Amino acid sequence: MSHAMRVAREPPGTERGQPDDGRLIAESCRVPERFGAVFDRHAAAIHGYIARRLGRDAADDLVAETFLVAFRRRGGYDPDQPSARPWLYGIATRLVSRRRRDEVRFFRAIARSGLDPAADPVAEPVADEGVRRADAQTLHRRLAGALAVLSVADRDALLLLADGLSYQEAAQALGVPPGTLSSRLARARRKLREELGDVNPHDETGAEQ
Amino acid sequence: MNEMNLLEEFRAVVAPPDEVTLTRARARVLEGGPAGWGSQRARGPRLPGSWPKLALTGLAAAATAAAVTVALPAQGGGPARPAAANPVVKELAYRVAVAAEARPNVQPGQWVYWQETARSSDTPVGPGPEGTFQVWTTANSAKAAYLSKGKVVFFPCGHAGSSSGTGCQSIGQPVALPAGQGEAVSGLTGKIPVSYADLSSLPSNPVALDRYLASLPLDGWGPAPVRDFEIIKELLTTYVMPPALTAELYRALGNIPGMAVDYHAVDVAGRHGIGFQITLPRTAGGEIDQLVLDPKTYDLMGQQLILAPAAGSAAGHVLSGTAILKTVLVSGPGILP
Repeated sequence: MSHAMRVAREPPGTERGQPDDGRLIAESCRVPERFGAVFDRHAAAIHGYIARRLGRDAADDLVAETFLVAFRRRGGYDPDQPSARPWLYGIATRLVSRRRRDEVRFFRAIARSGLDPAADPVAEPVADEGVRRADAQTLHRRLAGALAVLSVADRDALLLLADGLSYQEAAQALGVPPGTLSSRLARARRKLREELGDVNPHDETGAEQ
Repeated sequence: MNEMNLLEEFRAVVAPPDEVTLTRARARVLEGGPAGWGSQRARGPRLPGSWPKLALTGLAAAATAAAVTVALPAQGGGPARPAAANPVVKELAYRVAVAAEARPNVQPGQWVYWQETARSSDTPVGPGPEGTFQVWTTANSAKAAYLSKGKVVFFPCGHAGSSSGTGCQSIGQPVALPAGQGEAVSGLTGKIPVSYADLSSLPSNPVALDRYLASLPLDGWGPAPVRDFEIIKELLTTYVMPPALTAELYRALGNIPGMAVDYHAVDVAGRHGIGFQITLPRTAGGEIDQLVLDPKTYDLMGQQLILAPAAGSAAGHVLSGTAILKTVLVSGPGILP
């Protein structure tokens, strides 16, 4: 992931001087409106995460569902945890997993048609230099097909990392030890490479990470 | 590029959510109920009585529509129950309240410079170009002054130090207009329903505040929700209140049944803003009364009365309104910022 992409996905509102999520959530137990700031920080990212897995319509619905669940459970949040990101992604992931068949259908549809309903029609694909839209579309099509055959647990691990979460955060979101997450990731990446076959294009680095 | 880079790229092409979707979701969350905004809209029975209940149309239409409301005609049947506040309106009102709370504190006797422009059916009302005028009031409106030939002249509002202490606490800001023998003052008609001194004793809970304001015995101010809105509008455009009080009024505004938001409001100075609005009953003209706020800072921009869709091709025409061009705390009357 490029630095620009990583920066763009940092949740807003965590600048110096702003209360962290833990404090906001604790305060929201007394003043519920304070939870609005947590929503403002993370909603767009959560929406994108769900949209990638289920499409935009489902994301419109599930982003509210995610925060509703969080809002109702806010009393149990550990205020010493400054970032609610793993917690919120964990809730979103569980909601997505309830629709795993829809998710598989969604990825298969992309693989079949090459049309990605979640993609921004006006934005150029964020690819490394010189990659044309058509190339990216082909790659995404094959990637979607590969994601469709992964197990839910493997897909969860991969897509949380693709969303910019660290290993630690992804493990926290899934409620598994970091070692378990690493194992899942290694397996998922191997399967993905097998499914993608010769698709590992413009592999200027080629390096494992 | 390896498979992780490809995945990240696959994630990065996802279109960002639109603002309306997030606003809707946010309102639904802060409402906290299992029904949420969507199902409230779907299941709401039509209310009895003559006062129409307003409901949001599909928010996708909000991007193109001038206002996001549609009036559901009230019909008989079903038990009477209070109309609910619109969660989208409430959400915005609470945001405005947060912005209001962050403003500096103001003492009742603090002088304030107001520069405004007023129009009535496209005709400028103020003495200056395009209907602009300037006036100085104390934050509590006990005193008001204007400049006449370079000299400060106080509006004749009665004695601010009298037992009532209300002085110039009439609705809105007074205007001095050129007349044959000097200046004539206007805008001093109508006593504001809540004196500045009484503001601090208003209920702090927004629902209780709405209930209290709507219960004030004011003949000709319309049914309870309209009366409530009108009082809040007059307080906001007349006084400069302590931030906490201003915030309370905005929260109360968001809880008024029938309130709507116009994301494409334009004030009488031609500036774009966000409008909190309510439709007056047909017996009172059926127009839309609107309070316009800056869409970024949530500063108050003005108020206006607009022809409703029932007016056909004239819909949206401003019957009368005032735009606040500047509000600045100054050290005394006649002092320019």
